[in-house]
Amino acid sequence: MTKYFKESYQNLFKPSMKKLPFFASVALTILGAIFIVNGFKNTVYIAFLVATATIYLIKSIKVNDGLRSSKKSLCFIGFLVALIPLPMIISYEVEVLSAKLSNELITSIMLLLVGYIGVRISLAEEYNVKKKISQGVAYTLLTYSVIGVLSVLGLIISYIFINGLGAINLEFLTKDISNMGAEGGVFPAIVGTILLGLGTLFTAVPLGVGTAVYLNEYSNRRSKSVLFVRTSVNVLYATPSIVFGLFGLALFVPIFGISLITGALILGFLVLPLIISASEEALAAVPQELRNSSLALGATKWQTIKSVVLPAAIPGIITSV
Amino acid sequence: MDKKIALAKFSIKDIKECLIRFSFLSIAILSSTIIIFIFGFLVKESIPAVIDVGQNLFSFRWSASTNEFGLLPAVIGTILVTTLAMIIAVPIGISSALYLSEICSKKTRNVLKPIIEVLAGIPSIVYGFTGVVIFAPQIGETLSLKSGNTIFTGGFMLSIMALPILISLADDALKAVPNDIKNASMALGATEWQTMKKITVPTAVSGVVNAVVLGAGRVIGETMCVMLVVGGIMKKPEPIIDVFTSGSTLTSLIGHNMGEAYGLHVNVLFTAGVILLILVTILSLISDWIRMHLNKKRGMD
Repeated sequence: MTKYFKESYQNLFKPSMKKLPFFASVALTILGAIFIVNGFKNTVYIAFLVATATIYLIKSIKVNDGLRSSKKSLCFIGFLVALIPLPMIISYEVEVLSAKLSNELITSIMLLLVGYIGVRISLAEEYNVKKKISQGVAYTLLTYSVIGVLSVLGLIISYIFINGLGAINLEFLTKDISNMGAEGGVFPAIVGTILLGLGTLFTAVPLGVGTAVYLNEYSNRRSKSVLFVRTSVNVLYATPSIVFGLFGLALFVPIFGISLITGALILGFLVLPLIISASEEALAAVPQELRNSSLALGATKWQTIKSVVLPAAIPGIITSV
Repeated sequence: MDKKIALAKFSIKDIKECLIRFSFLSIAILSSTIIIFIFGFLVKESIPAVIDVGQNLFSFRWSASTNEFGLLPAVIGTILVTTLAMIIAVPIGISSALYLSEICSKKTRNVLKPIIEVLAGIPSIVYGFTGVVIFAPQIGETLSLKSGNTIFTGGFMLSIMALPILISLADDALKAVPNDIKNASMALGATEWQTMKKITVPTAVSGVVNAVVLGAGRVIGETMCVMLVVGGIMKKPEPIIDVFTSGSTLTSLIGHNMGEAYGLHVNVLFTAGVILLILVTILSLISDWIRMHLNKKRGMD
């Protein structure tokens, strides 16, 4: 599939004079996106519309092969010309719920749509095969969805790093907080985080690995008890962290006060489902032959688990931790 | 005589094995009863609120100073934010998953998949912070709103947060579609896109739906990010689907109010927690049911 995609994709964007209408439509789409983010400019808008209309006009005069496609082009040109006074026609603001859409925003969104229609029309003249066009457009959209996702996430991460890295130095990392947190460093917070992490592991690992051993070694996969354990662990996995917080407030704070122990216990419960599923995977990856040969040597089930299965699964479990 | 000793030895061993088995069973039961404990304690703490406030819990009036505790604005806010986040994230997420599983080369996939999985682990406060600094002002300006901190902004940020997990799960589901049926479709003369549209996606639909449900579960329970960008105002949206005003979700309500609450107020917040937990449990059970259904179907094939 990949090879074909590359071909159709490269064909789509190979520059040539014949493809001018296509590129003009793509430019319209991009312009619409830029207008939405960066604000609207009337002169640029009119210039682009006129240029696109001219390109389509020249194209439809030059090509006289199919009446149908040139009819489509002419309709599109009329549409483009009709769009030129759009920002002036629409009253200044259109209210959608509480949001006020300015005429400029509406025009920008219209540009996006017009660009898309233009792409379809220009490609229809180019290829004359409908399903190939659909494929080209669909593939392009799919590709851009990935690029869009990655660029938004990249924007977020780079923003944090660019603004955060400047503040980090040795002093910031090793000094105590002073002056009500306005000065000094984050050393206590770092130590607290590490202690909390260790406490969490001490809560979650015994419970998690024990449950995984039971589910994987002792129980029948289709029994009711396994179903019960699995369902409740899945609900635990879906439980929001703030609900865990409330639970801790109701149960542990009266016993331990607001302390690291409370935090560690609650966080332990929070990561328990993850540890269970990861250890279960690690245990399931241990080959059945190992167990069988250990049992054949006369070892009991527990001896097998203790000295054969667990050591084999430990690398997997540690990775999950 | 020999037989007796052997029997005795065996039974001691047996008892030990039995004990160990039993202790593992109790560990397993302990971890599965945590969720019941959580339910129990939340319900216990929320009983005073239910008794004192009663029906008014399901009204739109919220004013902590005059003991008016109507939770409906937060419930509506949660539903709006989740729906919005899913409306934005599902099409983009599924098309990205399609790109990853069907279109891109193995090399690209091997680079992109780990990146997306790492992105799923970014703490929500990071998303919330960038939402406040970058996206909320931009959205406020573009839509000429009084404040950029709206339900829409919340839904938008949550859609960004839900995307990595959605993409990764949907990609797994699409990847599990056997190659044979795709090849059969291509052999009949369908293009790749037609195959994807008509064969791959419909075959993987229960897996994809499972991904969406799990993503929705994540979005409902998200606290930090929503708290920062949703505005934190408890009032009835006019009309009810007005997503461009400041609002509140159950999570942001708890997060905002827990610090300064006392007395009945605290119990009301626990009630909000119970509602949240019920919503999440329903979603989780749906996803379990879908997964079981899926396994059965695969087993029959």
